Amino acid sequence: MSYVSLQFGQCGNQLGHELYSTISEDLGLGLNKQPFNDAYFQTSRDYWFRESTQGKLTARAIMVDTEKKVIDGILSKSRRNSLWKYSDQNAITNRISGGSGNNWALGYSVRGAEISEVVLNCVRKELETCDRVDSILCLSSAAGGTGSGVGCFITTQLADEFPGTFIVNTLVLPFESGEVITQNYNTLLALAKLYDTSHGIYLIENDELHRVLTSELKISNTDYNALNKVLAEQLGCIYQPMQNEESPTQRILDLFSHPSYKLASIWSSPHVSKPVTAFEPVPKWEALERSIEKNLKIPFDFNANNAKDYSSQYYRSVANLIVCRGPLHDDKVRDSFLKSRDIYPKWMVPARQCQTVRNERTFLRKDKFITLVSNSSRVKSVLDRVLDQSWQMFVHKAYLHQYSKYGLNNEEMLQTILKCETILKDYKCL
Amino acid sequence: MSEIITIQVGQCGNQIGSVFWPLALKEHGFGNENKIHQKKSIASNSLHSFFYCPSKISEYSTINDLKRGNVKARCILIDMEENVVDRYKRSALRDLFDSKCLLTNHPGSGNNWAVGHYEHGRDQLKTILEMIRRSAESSDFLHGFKLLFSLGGGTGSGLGSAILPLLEDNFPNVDRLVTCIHPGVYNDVITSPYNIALSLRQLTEHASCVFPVDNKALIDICNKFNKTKERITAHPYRDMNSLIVKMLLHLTSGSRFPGPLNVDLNELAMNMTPFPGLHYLTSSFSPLDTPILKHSELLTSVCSRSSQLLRVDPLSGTVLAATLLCRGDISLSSSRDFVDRFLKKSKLVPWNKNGVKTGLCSVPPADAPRSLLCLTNSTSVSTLFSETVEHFDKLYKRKAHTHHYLKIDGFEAQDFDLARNSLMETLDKYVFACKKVEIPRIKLV
Ligand SMILES: Nc1nc2c(ncn2[C@@H]2O[C@H](COP(=O)(O)OP(=O)(O)O)[C@@H](O)[C@H]2O)c(=O)[nH]1
Ligand SMILES: Nc1nc2c(ncn2[C@@H]2O[C@H](COP(=O)(O)OP(=O)(O)O)[C@@H](O)[C@H]2O)c(=O)[nH]1
Repeated sequence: MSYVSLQFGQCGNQLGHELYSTISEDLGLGLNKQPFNDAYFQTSRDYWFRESTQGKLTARAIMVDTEKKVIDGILSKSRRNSLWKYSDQNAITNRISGGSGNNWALGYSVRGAEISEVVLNCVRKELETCDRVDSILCLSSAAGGTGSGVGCFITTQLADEFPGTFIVNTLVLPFESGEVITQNYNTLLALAKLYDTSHGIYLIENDELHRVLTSELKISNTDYNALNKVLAEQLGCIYQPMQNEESPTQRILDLFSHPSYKLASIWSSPHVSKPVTAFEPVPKWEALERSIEKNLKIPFDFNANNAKDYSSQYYRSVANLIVCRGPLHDDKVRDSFLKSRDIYPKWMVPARQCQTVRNERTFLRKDKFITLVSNSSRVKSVLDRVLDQSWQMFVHKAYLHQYSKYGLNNEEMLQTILKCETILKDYKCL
Repeated sequence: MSEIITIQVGQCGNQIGSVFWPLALKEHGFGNENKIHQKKSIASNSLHSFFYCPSKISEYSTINDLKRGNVKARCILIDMEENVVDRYKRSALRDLFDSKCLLTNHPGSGNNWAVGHYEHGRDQLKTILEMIRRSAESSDFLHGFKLLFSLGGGTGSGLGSAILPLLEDNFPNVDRLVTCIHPGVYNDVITSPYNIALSLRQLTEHASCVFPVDNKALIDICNKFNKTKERITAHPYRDMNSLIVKMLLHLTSGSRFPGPLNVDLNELAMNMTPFPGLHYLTSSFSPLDTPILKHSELLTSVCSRSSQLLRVDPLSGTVLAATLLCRGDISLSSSRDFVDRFLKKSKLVPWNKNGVKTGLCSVPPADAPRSLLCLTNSTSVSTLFSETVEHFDKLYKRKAHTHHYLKIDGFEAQDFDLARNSLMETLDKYVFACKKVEIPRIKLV
């Protein structure tokens, strides 16, 4: 059983590299006493890597970009790495024509079409090396042009070509205070398109990753690698093998069982910088659960009359998945608040609304690590913000000519906005 | 890594170029002193952005190697006089310029836009297109044309602006970035208001992005850094031109060098042009002189009016869009801090209240560990247009000197009116861009 990942654009490629590095760290690759007979090790290795001729593990990943700088940098890093590498054949650029210029329409309609045949061929070949493919993971940013535009185009094609395969997109949202000026349009265009083709979308906010670093890890000077590291650990925690080497995919599928609700957020705990861990007592599972549950708590509002039942204290959820990694010790296992029936819609099957899975093997040498994947109405605020800012631009007709240059007219932009308003409305009515 | 073709037109364009090439080489690790650059491999690997390199770059380490390796600047030098371009033929870098890419003629354009645009245009454009084609054929990933010329003279403004539509027709997907030099005053060349107005119309219609700078602002900056008067008179334009060059090197750094957040050339026009034609960007960078600046001082400095390469205060107007490009050891956190502070200092248009594009390039400039470039699309730039109209009207009311233009084949009286209209239209567009439209978001039931 394996995952094949596609890394699109600068963000997707940088994040993907961090993800595979994190996995290789978790596997303890390169450490002297490799537990080669360990079932976890073997299962995980098969998930992410294939054996190459020279014995170095090769990531089951395909790198796609419209500019070769980022991919070249990663390839040269990967050549120096003695533990695992990317396959040169899986690095694809259409560098001659140039980047996507932060324009989703250019990425989708022009660059996507230019590059898709080569990419699909590559995916086909990669899939042939797997015994069984569990999911295709697409990584990209929402704000740029390549990740969001080319990424959407290829995702659509993958869905057509490999209808039985589970496709999940990790979509990194830009900082609210501006990184790319057309970021809100690009985000909506990507979301609207992916809603039709992808099975599920992890919405990742750069602001949130940055907050983890600055307020939880107390790192004041960070870079994109550090953001990627946080996210890579979360993804690793979700996707590494479960107890009994069971694949996590079915549980993830359960999160996205309703076609109107395809968005998920991710939180994890604890975030501690390495040196501190050695001296501090390991927190109890109960405390960790509480700390991730907090993320689904509606901020206290003095004006509302705060009723005591959970349903009014917590965001409504479609489904939640809690992944715990690390030994149980003799911790009391408390039933999470998230198990309460009240925060889920009536149509949700109770057995699937909130699942907890564990693996007692330690993950990344962290004593305990817990991750919450939540398909919940917490996404309302970010959707609302992006829609608000896009709408402002749209009614002032700003930047629309840049999109119509590549065949995306104002009517289509309006339809995109409407589609995302519908997504938002559905979450509001949950 | 993008490849960029530089097109230098007229005396001013070529003089700026003569400062540009040595500094560009230095930034790519080829200083005259043969000193090994710190990150030599990265810096020199990007050499082919500006230079055509027939063999592997790793084989070069000195400028003489480049000459021996037949490396050529991706540059087209055009002047209708011989002086300045002839100086290239005698300079130390002469072998880096392909003689097939030099075009001179005489007797100049006499500071007459019509002569440059129509007379020389008619005779030379075919040759120029051939030169550009040849240069484009030797590039693998041509992503931009960078044009350098002055607005006030005749050759640069006239012929330079005639090249733009030519590029637009023949290379529609390659951006045209124009750095144009405004005299800053309106009396150094009597007919300059005409020349400026006539070329601004072409720039509005045919450029992807324009980076106007003016000589008055450049002189002020040079004076501030106590360059003594003598030095300025000895090399009237050298220090001023090196400011323009540093801006250009910074501007293109994201498409030449790697970084954690790249900004390709074509992202600039996309992010900075909310409406067609509103693509005039003011620029300021830091450090201007003192190489060691604290991170926090960089932003203060680029926001200050006295660092602007164009004599306007972009932050006093409404900002439609801005870009902050960081180079060197600037972290993500610092760049976020820059954005927050920039947003506090400036008034952004309500439909783009977070309208800041950021970039992080790992390779610093040759003379500092870090630097910051700020590009702003601000309504303040409309003073450039209103002043031009004012001075244009002063001359045109009396029909002063118009006969010099009208006698040129191809130039029509309506060219003056069209140019003036275009300026007025741009002014209107800036006003319109700030008009608030209130339509509530669609409510779904
Ligand atoms: N978390 C994270 N975000 C990134 C990274 N690189 C770029 N981004 C974000 O991606 C957006 C720009 O898109 P990018 O991927 O560079 O453009 P593309 O190459 O055209 O897809 C911005 O919002 C950046 O914040 C990264 O390594 N990590
Ligand atoms: N900054 C700068 N301005 C220049 C330079 N040479 C000429 N100028 C300005 O350019 C204008 C004259 O245009 P010029 O380029 O000489 O005319 P052309 O050769 O006909 O295009 C005047 O406003 C000069 O101030 C130079 O090297 N640097």
